[in-house]
Amino acid sequence: MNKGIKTDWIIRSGASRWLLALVLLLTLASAAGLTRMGLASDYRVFFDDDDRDLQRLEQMLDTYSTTDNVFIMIEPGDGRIYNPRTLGLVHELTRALWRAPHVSRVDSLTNFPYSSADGDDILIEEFVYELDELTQQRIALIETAASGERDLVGNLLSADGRYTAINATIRLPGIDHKAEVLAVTGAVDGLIRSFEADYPDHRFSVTGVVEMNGAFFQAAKKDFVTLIPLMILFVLISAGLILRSPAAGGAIMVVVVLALLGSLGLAGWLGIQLSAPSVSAPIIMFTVIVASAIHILSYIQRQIRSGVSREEAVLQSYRRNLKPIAVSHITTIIGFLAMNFSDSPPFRDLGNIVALGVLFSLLLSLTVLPQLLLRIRFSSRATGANRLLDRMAPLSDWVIARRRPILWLMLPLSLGLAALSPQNQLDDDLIRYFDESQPFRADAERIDRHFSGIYTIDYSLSVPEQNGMFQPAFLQFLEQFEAWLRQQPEVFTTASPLHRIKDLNRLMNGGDQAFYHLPGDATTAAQQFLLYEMSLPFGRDVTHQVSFDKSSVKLTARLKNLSSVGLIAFEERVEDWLRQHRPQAIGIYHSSPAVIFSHIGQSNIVSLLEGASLAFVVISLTLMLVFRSPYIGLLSLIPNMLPVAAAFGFWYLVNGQISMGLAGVSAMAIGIIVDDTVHFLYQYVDGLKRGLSPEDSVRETFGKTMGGILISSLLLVVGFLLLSTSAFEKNAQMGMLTGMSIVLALIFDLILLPALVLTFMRRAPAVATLQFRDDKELNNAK
Amino acid sequence: MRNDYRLLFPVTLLCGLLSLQLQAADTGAAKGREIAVAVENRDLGYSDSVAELTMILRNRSGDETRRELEISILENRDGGDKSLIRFDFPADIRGTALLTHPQPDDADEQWLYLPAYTRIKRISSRNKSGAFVGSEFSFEDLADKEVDDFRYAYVRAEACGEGILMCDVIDRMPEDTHSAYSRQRVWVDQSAQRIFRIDYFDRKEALLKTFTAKDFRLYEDRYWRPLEVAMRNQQSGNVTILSYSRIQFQTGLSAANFHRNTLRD
Repeated sequence: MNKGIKTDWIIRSGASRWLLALVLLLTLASAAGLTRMGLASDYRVFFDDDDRDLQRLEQMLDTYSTTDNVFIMIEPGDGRIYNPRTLGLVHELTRALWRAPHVSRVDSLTNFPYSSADGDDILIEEFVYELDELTQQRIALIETAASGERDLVGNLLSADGRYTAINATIRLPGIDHKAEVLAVTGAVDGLIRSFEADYPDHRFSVTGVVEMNGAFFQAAKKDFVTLIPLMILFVLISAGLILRSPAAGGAIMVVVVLALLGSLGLAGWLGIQLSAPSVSAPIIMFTVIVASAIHILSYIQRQIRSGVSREEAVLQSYRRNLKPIAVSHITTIIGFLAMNFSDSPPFRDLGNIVALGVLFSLLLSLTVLPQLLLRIRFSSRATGANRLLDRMAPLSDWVIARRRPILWLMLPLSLGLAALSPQNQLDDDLIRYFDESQPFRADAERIDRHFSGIYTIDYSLSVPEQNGMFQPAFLQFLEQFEAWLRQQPEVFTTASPLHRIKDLNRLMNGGDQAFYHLPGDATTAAQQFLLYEMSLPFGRDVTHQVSFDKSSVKLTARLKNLSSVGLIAFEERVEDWLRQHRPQAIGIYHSSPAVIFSHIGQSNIVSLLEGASLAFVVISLTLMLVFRSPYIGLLSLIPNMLPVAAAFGFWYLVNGQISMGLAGVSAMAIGIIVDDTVHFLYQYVDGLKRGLSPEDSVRETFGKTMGGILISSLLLVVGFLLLSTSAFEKNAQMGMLTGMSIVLALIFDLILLPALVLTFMRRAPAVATLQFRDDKELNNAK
Repeated sequence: MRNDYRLLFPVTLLCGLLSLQLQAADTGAAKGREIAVAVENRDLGYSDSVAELTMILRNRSGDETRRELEISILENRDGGDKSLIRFDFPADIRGTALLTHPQPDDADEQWLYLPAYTRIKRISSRNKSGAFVGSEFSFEDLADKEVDDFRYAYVRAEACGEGILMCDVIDRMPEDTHSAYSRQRVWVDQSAQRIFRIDYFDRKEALLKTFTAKDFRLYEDRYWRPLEVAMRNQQSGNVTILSYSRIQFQTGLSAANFHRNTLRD
């Protein structure tokens, strides 16, 4: 059996045409699925439908009316909100928001139902009912009343009276979520722009859950339209520089584009929606595929330069590279498939789309690419890159001469760096999912300085009986719990119906401040509350805080900007307190978007690290099988695992914060960087088999393979660094960290790996002899 | 300067068409208003009514909660009808009563009696758009309508739901700028001026709620009343059902029964 012929049929035989047609057909059929592909616009895509945390949040949303919102902060230039102009603006904007799509409720300073009592007369009215009633006396009254109103201060009014806010509650029909979100954000944007034009002396900032959903969509879209053209440019330029052949660049482009269409289309057939994290899949795919195609092309070019005919060069390149190419594709696929360990669907989608893309790339590299290469012209002139590669030889001598110091220096150094990696802080800050160029982040951070934005925890307290919320024991516990929460350093303010209930008692007793306390019995509380419910204006019902059968009440704790670790620690402290103080009859659960993101961030990191460990094991086993040597498989772990661990250690020094998705880097990076080790070891073992001394074999490997390794690694680094310009901060960090891992892996492969094999693998593994005999025969035949 | 007669003809034609259009709009408004007046007239002279009913609140997951109340109404031809609402269930709000004297062009006068206080509280509020005790009905929906509270447009004639009855469909636009609605579309039965259905459109012209009435009964040979009405919130999925167990007309109530001092009874 001749290995050369076995390889050649892929390119030459009649069957190859059928194979080519089959692969093309498969690609096109998959690509048809692109029509089913869309961009997701809901933060809930980060969770599985049966995720316990998400279900609890949905339960909260079912019990109380929706908390999806748009929050607009208004900041007058002169720092005073109590003037006719600013109050007029708030009044007008409040009215305008009522007309925005899907708005079910608007809360602002001007439509706050202010209640006062004069003997047995009770007056409940919005602060501003008609604009022309806004006299100086009225403004003075609003200022006094509002700044003492607990439901306003901290929620819609900053304590210093310099900032005010409008909260619009949004109820989306949920038929076409994306169109609905964009309709809301588009209408709000339009309103803000027109108010900015009319009130240039005021500054507006917008945040809220619906705005965040819109921002997820915008970030993904921006990445899609800016990064992909950038990648195409990058491929063309790099192919031009390295290969000096636009046609070769074109051939790579064909493979890349087909692989991209095929994998995205197949993902579409599988019902995967692209979202902010998975939108980086095409970019990663681009990078990985180009890097692997370079191995084939640079070999062909070197052969042509040394005078071999084009056809012969293509055939030889496939004979030599077929196995390492196949192995490196497979290890890459394993690495990306390991992202399926993630608890968060978009990260699984990311891994699966890239894995599919790499699979398509493998199929296309064996069918379409050789046919293309047989038909294009290569430049036989040396490029800058070629000249750089020719200078690799001196490096091999340096490594051979200094292999012991290299081992003694690099191993402890990288181990030390790797030891820092557990020091990274786990952090999933919702706002920082976006990069600073996104208006959502800038606005959200600005608002967060004066109000508590999306860092809230909702506690639902309930009793089994209908109308049970009015029982004195229940209200007393609510009072105790709320008071305790307000003492906690993390808590900015709280919101619950408690203040309203106490204030009603005051109101019903002639407005006497001494009566600002809980009413003595359930009947009184229920009747007072009925009065309140009857006097509220349109849309301002109590269902956001009270369940419709009055058996449960929502208490919201607004927190200062907290990392996910801080939030989880706070949650646990509250749990502890509740365990000691909660009466048996009262049931409590809690949730909020901030809570569920903290949890998934945490569990995702653990599960992705598990996935990465499994990927390490599977990849090592693959290498053992390929080289038929457990020894080589184990040895290869060193130059692959250490750079990833060291990169995380390095990350601690430059950033120190690990968030959801970054943990996926470890699995992803190993699949990519192991390729270089495969190419190196394959060449080195082959040299030993042909009877070369270890030193000579290293020299030959440097001459033949290091060039491809160096170029493909550099391409990968550039590609992942491009990703770091993503508008989605998670993708940007993923790009940075993976790029860093690849640089470290390259250094390891250039310096440490040769030193390792020269020290620990001076003889070819005995079992491997059989495996490589074919290649030996082939080389002897030449 | 020469007059261009070629232009004159189309301009005249255009003006003619426009005025035709305006006229059509006029007749639509007039016809719509005519129907509203007919509805109003149909109820004239009922004097007073007392109804006992159950209010069922049902949320979109199907959970229910119940209230029982009695509503007395005194006809008041100049100004709106006076109403007295008294709760019987649940126990903790039993005896709570709300008396409303509508004031055209001003805040309604309202008195509330809470048994827990044995005092009568006068409530001032210009709000009529708010929800009635947590239901999908607002005060605005329950309040007696005056013809002049709206502008009208005639839409079409069509079958009232599934039956053989024909309905006139009219649009009415509230004059009150604080109304929660931009428009209400009303289905009025042609034979007896019964309101079968109302679609409420919110301030952004989106369908907010749908009112439907069924099981009409004839009282005193003249006044039709539905035994069951439902208000479904189309945006939240919640629904409120009012189920009448007893309706009586001309029970002999007078203004004295609608004085705030009677609230304690």
